[in-house]
Amino acid sequence: MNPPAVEVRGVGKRFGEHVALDEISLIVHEHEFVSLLGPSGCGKTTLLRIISGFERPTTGRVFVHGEDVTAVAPDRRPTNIVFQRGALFPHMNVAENVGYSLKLRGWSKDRISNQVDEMLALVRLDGLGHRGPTELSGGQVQRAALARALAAEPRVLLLDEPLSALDLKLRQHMALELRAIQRKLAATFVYVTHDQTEALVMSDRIAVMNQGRIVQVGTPREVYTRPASVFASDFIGETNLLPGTVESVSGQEVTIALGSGVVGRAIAPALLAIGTRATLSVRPESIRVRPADNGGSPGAGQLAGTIREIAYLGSHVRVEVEAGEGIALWAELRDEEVVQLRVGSAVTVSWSTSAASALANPGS
Amino acid sequence: MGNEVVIRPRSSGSPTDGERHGSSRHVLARVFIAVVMVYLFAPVIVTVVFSFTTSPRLSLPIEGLTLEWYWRAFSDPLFSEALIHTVILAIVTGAVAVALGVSFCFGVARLGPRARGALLVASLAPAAVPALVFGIALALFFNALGRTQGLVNAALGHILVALPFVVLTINARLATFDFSMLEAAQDLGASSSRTFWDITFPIIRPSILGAGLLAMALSIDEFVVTWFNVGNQLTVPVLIWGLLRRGISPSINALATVILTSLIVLVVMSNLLNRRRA
Repeated sequence: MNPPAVEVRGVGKRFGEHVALDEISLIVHEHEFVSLLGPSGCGKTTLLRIISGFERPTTGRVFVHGEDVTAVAPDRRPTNIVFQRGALFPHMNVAENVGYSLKLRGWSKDRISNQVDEMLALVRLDGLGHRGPTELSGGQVQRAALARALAAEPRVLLLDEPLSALDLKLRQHMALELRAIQRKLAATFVYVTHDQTEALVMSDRIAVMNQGRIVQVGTPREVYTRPASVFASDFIGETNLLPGTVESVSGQEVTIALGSGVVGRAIAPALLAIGTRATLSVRPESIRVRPADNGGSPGAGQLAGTIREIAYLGSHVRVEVEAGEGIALWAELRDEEVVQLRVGSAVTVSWSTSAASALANPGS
Repeated sequence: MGNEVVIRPRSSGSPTDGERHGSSRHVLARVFIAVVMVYLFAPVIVTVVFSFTTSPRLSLPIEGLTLEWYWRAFSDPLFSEALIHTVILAIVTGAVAVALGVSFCFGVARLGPRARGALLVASLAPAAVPALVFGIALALFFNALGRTQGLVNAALGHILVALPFVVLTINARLATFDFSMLEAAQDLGASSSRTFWDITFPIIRPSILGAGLLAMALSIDEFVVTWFNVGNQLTVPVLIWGLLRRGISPSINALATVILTSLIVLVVMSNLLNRRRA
């Protein structure tokens, strides 16, 4: 079997006393799009800079296609990087920027020009080769930077938040385009971002990072529906976090007492002991809210509550429910689901057990 | 004068009073500005004008115009010796101060903000030391090292005088320099020397030239530090000072005008280059 495109083995990085990366291991397969997703300061950029060679790890090793590159300088690595703000050379036009790595390799003018044209067509900048970097829009700058990095034919392309300087619409559009380019080239991309939407849209797999560690690796669907920690569930997407105590465990299914006789059911990704404190995480779009049956008490897996707020947001309606003392949660419902609901009316709240996660409290 | 804008005084009084009062303030302000400008430029203008007059004395009216004083100055063997020394000093000062200043600024840019701030202040401090103190200190220092006075000592002094200004210029340029461009070049396969010649140098070339021209300008008219360290060698300012002791001749005006012109050219070019942004 081929070695993985990138293997990071036990990589740690200290800056003085500060631990930026804590013994991280990660494998990126060939043709795979992997995102390093986390808040600022989580170590994702440091990890990318270690893979690109701009930082040396304090401990551990980095392999690219099976070759140990830990001690190899960036200019001799089979990786190329797209920087946050493009970092185009201002005194060269777009074509010269894109062809720079080929000029360094001593390619002939014709060959460079062919490759440059091909790359510019790939990123849809055809015909803009003669423009200077200052004559490009923000999106075009990042396209040119992408073309420049791809022209060097890297075995792994590294991207350091390349869309973060763009406005939302353009960012969403470019994310899809990046994904299409990666598929078309069957290239290996390692993409750093703090934007969960970007990561969900583009990635084959997401490595969620926090405080110098990788806290979860999985497909976007796995990471979203089966978060492994309170951090992951909160950072990716929006969620209701309900603290409680583990009451009973049956296989993966866990019942959590949320206080004053209210219980919630969820799936536990990791073993939880009865009696320990835990947090139940359930996505707002997984919650159903129905008018309460007259006089009837809520059935199993249901919570009785009162509507506190209804906010119309166009694509959906946001409903806030107080279910028992101090338990507030919010649900995202479709417009027709809220016809019978009013602020102050009694409701029954429920979710399917498989849509909720029971997570160990951080630090416990 | 009649159609100028009149600032009405806030004090009471008839409009005509106020108008007169206002315009007289205007006149006073103009006179004051004129006096200051005359004070600033008259000596220079007198020097330039009398370098072209036929009369050997600084007297009016001007009888005629001539280039004789330039011809005399340039044909003086002492002058050509002084001029050659001044040009050599200017070139050496410009080249060395720029090389040192640029490397210093790039090195300092990689440090943390506190260390960078401290080192920048320290590197600019020599500019605040009086030239007299600098000149004497250097002379004593070279004497302690057993070096005889001469052009090399003077050159070392000139470089010290010019270096803070080079650092100031280059550092201002680097404040808006995107260092990730250098990483991009390296990432694309360029060695560090290749990165410097392909990327760094072309981008900051205007600032480097500007700083170099400024350093040359400072070197050309440097007198005090030169005087204490140059020994029995001549530079143009030292020659002028020597000539002045034997009385004012129009040749001195010619020499001063030559220096003035070269400095104006250098400083204007330096400013234009530093204003240009890549």
